[in-house]
Amino acid sequence: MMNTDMDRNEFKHVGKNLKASQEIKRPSLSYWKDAYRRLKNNKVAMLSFWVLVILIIMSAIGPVITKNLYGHTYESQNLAEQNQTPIMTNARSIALLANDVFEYDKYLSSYRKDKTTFKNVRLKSPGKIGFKIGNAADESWQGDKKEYQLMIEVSSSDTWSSIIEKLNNEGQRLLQEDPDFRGIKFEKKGSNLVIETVGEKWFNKTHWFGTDEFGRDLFTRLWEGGRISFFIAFISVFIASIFGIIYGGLSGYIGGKVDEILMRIVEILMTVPDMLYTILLLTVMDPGIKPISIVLIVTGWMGTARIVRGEVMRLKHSEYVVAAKTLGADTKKIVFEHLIPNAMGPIIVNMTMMIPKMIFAEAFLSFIGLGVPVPYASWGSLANQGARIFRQFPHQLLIPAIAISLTMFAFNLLGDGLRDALDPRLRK
Amino acid sequence: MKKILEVKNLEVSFDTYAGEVQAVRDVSFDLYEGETLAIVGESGSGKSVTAKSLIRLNPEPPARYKAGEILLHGENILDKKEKEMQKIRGSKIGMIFQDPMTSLNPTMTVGKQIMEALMKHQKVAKSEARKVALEMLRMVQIPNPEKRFDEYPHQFSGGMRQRVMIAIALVCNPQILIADEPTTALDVTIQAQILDLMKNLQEKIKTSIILITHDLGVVAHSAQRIIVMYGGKIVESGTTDQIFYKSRHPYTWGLLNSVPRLDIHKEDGRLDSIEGTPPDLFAPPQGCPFADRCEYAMEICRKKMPPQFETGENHHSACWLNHEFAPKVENPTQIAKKLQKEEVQMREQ
Amino acid sequence: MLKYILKRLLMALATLWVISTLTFVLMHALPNDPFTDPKLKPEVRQALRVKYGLDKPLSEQYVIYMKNLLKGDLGTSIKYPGRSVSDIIAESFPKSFALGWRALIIAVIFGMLLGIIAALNHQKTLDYLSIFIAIIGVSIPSIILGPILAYFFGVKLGWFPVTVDKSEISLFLPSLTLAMSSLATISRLMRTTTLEVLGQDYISTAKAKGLSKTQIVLKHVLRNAVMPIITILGPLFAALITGSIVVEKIFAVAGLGEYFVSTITEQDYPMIMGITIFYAALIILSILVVDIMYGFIDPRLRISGKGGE
Repeated sequence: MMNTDMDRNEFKHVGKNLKASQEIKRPSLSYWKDAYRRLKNNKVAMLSFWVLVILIIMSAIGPVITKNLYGHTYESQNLAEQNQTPIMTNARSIALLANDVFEYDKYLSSYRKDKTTFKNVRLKSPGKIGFKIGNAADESWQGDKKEYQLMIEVSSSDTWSSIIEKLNNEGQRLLQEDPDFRGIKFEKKGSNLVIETVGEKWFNKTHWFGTDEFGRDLFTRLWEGGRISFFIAFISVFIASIFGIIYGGLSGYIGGKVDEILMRIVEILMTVPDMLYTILLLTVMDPGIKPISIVLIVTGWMGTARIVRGEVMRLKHSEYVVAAKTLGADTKKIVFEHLIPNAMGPIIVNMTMMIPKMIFAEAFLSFIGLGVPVPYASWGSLANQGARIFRQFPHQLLIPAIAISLTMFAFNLLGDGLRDALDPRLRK
Repeated sequence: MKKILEVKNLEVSFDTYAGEVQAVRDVSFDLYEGETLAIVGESGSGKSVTAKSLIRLNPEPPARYKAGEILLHGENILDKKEKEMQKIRGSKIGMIFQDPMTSLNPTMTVGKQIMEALMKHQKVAKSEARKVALEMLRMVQIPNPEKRFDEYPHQFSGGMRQRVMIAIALVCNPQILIADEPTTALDVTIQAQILDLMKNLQEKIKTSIILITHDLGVVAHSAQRIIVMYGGKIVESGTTDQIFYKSRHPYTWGLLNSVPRLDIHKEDGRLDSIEGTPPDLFAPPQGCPFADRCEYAMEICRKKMPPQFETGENHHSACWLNHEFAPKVENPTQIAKKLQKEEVQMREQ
Repeated sequence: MLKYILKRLLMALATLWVISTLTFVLMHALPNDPFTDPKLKPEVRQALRVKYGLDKPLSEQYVIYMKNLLKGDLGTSIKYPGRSVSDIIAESFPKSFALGWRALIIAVIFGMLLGIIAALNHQKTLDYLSIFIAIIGVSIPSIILGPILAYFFGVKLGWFPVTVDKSEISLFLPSLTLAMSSLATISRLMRTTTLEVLGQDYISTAKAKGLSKTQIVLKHVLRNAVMPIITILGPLFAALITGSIVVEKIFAVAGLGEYFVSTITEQDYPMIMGITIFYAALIILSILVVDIMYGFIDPRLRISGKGGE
């Protein structure tokens, strides 16, 4: 088939071409460069990283911004501005004054009470229905101290539609008398009575995240809290890791009986639930940032110790350690210059995953009252305060909650990404 | 002899994040009733992927069957749906794997693992299945089978676990047994035992065996026909005698020379090995995959893929040296030289 | 096997001893005692100290303390005079337990389900969805989740009653809140171990036998993937206990966690010590039970009596 169109010259002997066969077609990268490349490709992890950077930057400059703009600090109180929300409205509140006329199953309202719903209303008897519109105490919202009374009489011949008409007419009358009233709308939706007052909405210009019950600016407090929460978390993780590295590194390297004893100690200490011990320790210490950090360090170093010991034991018998030994290197040098840098991968991942645990621990302690003292704020204590008043002013819980959750979320994803990137088995 | 399996122009690729890896590039061979066919090659040659393709065991993605057919009794395996494949696996075609230490479920008794294979494919009562499984343990020469039946894999040695694997693979009397490097992870003495066992059972059950290995020593003992694979392609195929004594491919020569033999004396006492490394299957070479490592390579070898030249009765070699334009190269292997010497001696007598 | 159990038992007792000693040391490391109320007259204060044995030297106090512990006597509360610590525990713990075991079941069953589904659909939508749920469970602490769930499902939608009583439905929200972070942990772990198991050689063997995917999962994957989960059950109990502290406060349940928090702020030392030891004992006991259970499930331990791989 091919003999005729084959060229005899092509059958000239050329021999081996080993360089070509040994050429590795893809450039080889060092461990760290390869890990960095893999991490960069992990979009989720990179996104988390940038989110965290933003959060940390905000914690640093947030309070500075508001101090310069409005003079807010984390502790300056202004009761006249208490419980403001990020979005303000000057619609007046609705309160039921008198009611001879109807029964209802449930009463729901927005936290400003500018929209209320009476569920499943049923006519009972004729008489008065009266509402108080507006509240002098809400001055920072309404803009004034005005209150209005809206009253109607209901007779036995009235139906719901006539009652609604009467109510709306009365509202109109009040509005014509005084435009500051701003207006009100009564509606019957199905079996529910829905009442809503009219008002404008705008973004809170002086308190971007609103205020708490003492009128303290939440934006400032949030980022001050961020400083404290991040500080506690980072310091605790850092110092705990150092202890863990030293303890675990030495234990793993020395091995034998020493290792067994050291690890038994760790095993026993780890069985003790750390929460219990942080609580106990804080009970005997005065509250504050230092004690919390100390306590977190004391309960946090063991995990790192275990991991480092594991890595060191694994690496102990690898060739380059044996080589270093034969060259006369002493224990300390081997541990610090050879073993630990190679164990850095899992150590870094461990540290990244510890931070959200610390943040959570701090929030937990604040929740049960062992956190940073008043008036300092940490995210945990902010959440604690907010949880108490959640039903009326959800933003006071939601804002620190989002901060905490976002941070923990981001660190978890970043940690996962780091773990995948630094795992030598996934090198391709 | 009846043909049981026909593989025609099989092409299998893997889609990875870095691109397409062409693991198997145009492989064709047949399997006959009752024979043992060996597929020999180094890691990366495509032999395992080929074997797994016969029962579609490669995870599909990332594996992709680009082209070709695998005909089992005339039906194309590559066309079958998963449910149909499940009926074939374990009952018509059995497979044993390389590492007996990790191939058995550590939390299930050995007996149950054998019974499972039986009960999946045949409607038998548990008691009946147990009897058959016990019989299989006896057949693979596990001593004290009644006691061993209820034991766990970690209580067995490597060689014994491999016997259990064989029992599992053969319990439904399959027509084909695929053995993927069955002795690589075992001691040399155990290797011989396992190979003998397989030969023994083959005669009893009349099953054909496809033996995958990189060790020619194993092959000489057990196989009637041999296929040599390199870089995803078949470079030589023939009977065991033809491949060992009359090979016509430089790669096979390299393999033969690197098998240590007691009866051949080497002046320098060193083992030969083939210099260089296998080709990158991301970007396979256009010409012969072995060209870069071949000391007989010619210009055409680097440019064009050699076709299968017929160098004997059912003996094929994909090498340009077999072309009439090529210089005449003698088989340089020690074995061939020894055979020559013997033939010369015989003629002189 | 017996050797294994004995070893574990010994470790448990040793740990318990260490914990009680540590608790004692910590509580008495303070220069002050619970009677720091400046309104107290010095004589009254001294009398109280005598009554609670705080005037004796530390070593003597320790011996008394340990003896009492062995008898099961945890002392009497200072802030609830006349009531023994053990009584208070016995009264409030059942309420915590009611939440606890429900949370455990929710966490284990749904955690495992979520993890397996994720692994079987590796890197497809279902997988990412379950990872997402898991990370939410881990990132949103019960402090935040509790009030939010209570508000939306309790108040706004009205599906659940606002207060907790003996009814099954009122216990649901607090149990779910308690379960969330454990559920997330279990599902993540289950996903990892299932993926590992799926990559094992014996799964190839099972496939080569012709078994269907369901059969492979049920008979070969499950049993092997569950084992690592059992090892974290111990720390899981610990998490449930600390979690209950928060949940009880949010949902106003008069359980042991509630008491614990209030005694901390009130500095009721016998109560604090007593509850701590009780909790610790509970955790150690559950770890012991889990370890023994593990010994039975892993045939490698069961038969040779030695540890793991």
